[in-house]
Amino acid sequence: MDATPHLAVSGVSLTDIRKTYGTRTVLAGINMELAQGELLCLLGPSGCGKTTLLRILAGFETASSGQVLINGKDVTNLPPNKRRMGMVFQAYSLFPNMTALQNVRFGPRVRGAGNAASQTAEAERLLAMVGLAAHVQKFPHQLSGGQQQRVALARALAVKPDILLLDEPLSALDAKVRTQLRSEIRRIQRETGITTVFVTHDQEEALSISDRVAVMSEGHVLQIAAPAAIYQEPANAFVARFIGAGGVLQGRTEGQGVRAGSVLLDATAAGALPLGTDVELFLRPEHVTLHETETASPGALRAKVDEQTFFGSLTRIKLGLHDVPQGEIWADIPSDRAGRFTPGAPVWASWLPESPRVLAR
Amino acid sequence: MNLLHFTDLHIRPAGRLAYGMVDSNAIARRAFAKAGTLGGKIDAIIVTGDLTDNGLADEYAELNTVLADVTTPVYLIPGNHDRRENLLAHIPGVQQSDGFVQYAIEDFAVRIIMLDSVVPFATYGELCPARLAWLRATLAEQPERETILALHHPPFATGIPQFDATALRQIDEFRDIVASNPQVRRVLCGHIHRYIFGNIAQATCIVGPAIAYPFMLTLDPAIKEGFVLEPSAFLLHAWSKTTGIMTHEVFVDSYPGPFHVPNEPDYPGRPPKA
Repeated sequence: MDATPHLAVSGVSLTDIRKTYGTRTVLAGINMELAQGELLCLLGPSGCGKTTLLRILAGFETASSGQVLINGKDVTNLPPNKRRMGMVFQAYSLFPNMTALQNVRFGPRVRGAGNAASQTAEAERLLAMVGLAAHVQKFPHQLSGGQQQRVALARALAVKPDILLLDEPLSALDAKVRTQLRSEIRRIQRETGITTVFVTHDQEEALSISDRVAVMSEGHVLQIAAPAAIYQEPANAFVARFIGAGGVLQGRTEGQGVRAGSVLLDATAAGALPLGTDVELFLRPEHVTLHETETASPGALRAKVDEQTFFGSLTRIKLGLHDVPQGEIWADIPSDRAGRFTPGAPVWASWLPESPRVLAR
Repeated sequence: MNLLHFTDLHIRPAGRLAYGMVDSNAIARRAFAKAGTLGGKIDAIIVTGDLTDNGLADEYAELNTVLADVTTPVYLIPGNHDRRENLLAHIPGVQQSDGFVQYAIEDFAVRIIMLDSVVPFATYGELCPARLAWLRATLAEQPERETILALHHPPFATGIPQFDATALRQIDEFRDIVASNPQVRRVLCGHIHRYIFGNIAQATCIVGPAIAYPFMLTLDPAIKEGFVLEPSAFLLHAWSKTTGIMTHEVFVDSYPGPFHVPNEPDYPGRPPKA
């Protein structure tokens, strides 16, 4: 499947979705188009409105105004049981009194889709697809948390939904199972070609699984783009801060650089803004190179090592800056080199001029 | 939509009687079996608490075996005889929110909101500020949709002191929430082990009869409550667009009949012969 969404065919169309509770605005006019077969993550901090938006798509909540189209059909005023959607929640929500097979068969059975034999065959096929062929006769209490979420996914797909909605489906699982199931959700989503909205607060999850990510804050979508674009070209300071780690330095543009205190920091992007613009310079830790001596890299920024955080293959080093009044930066270096940069040691930091992102304050 | 309302199963570990004399496990099995004999499609069974007698792991294990033969969706909430952590550990699949066994059922024409009124180490019920806030927010999601609220502890006073001592503590707050949400048509609960009707604002409130055993009814406040071996029962809440929700009582066990009702010659409703 082509990873690039084709917006000519709309899977989901949201027009000016607003949600208010009394005087509190939870969603402030959301407009969004999803291509058929696209996987979009709604990503943002707690309270940003991502779950409310998902619940409006599901019909669990009513928008105060706006329109929801799914596959071209206006579902704005349809209750959840009249929408063709499959939903997976964070907490397992299986029928505790039914086997995996009965749980998956339930939706088609209630809707009268096919006969008993075809419903069972389809449920078995879906359970095999999620890797549970050997567990079809087990009850939820006989399955692990990850297996229960696999059943929940198969159950959501069994009703042949127009749209699959996933509300933090991996948050209750341990790290290893989470990563494994994440890849499987993506594989299954690609195989079935079903338009999917995935809510998460975990940026690694969002960046690794999505065709596009919508970063939300305070009821607004701040940026909606492919994961690489979100990471490399954040549209504003919130997205730059929220996605990935990074240093932020404040200053003013001066030619192809940013003046911060007595130092002129290399940043080609500053050239696109008028001279003297107040800006923030964002620098990813993987773009920062450390040197043990000043002579190794003329013009490098003088600093000292404040702290080290070990991440396995990489070590992240937080730097205290000598000549820049406001801000901090980090550098990621291979852990086998980290021994040279012990806390308190003097160090010089450099980067390629095209690496920093420069955004007006 | 046909919704069965079970309450107060008081399941014991396999092979054990409740209080040395009530075979609550067998009664529960008969009740779920009876649900399959009503002659119509049952959409769901809700159980409003006291799933077990002591909240023991062995009791939830036995409940799993009781439920294993049930093919209708079953939705559970705890009562004061349950232990929330054991319920969630041994019966996974039960939904929760913010650490409580509270959730909305969205699959049917009528919305059902299941509430967790349990206070650990207490017999009375409580909806703490966090749970009341969740209820308000959940009701605000779909103010137009006909809604049933279900919880274990009755959120109203019956006037019988023995029963009312252990009711829900937040009766006023609960009534205010119901009153400001006209979509709430029924409040279903358990706990008292008797079939009781009342009103909470515009909603009819019904305490379901117990599956395990009924408590005796007395109007004398000096008499200590006790259980009696009267018939076990559950409720059928049948909904249609034209009738709204209609409630029927169903006895768990069978009694002689049905017998044909003869049209006696002296029956006053008999039309006169021309």
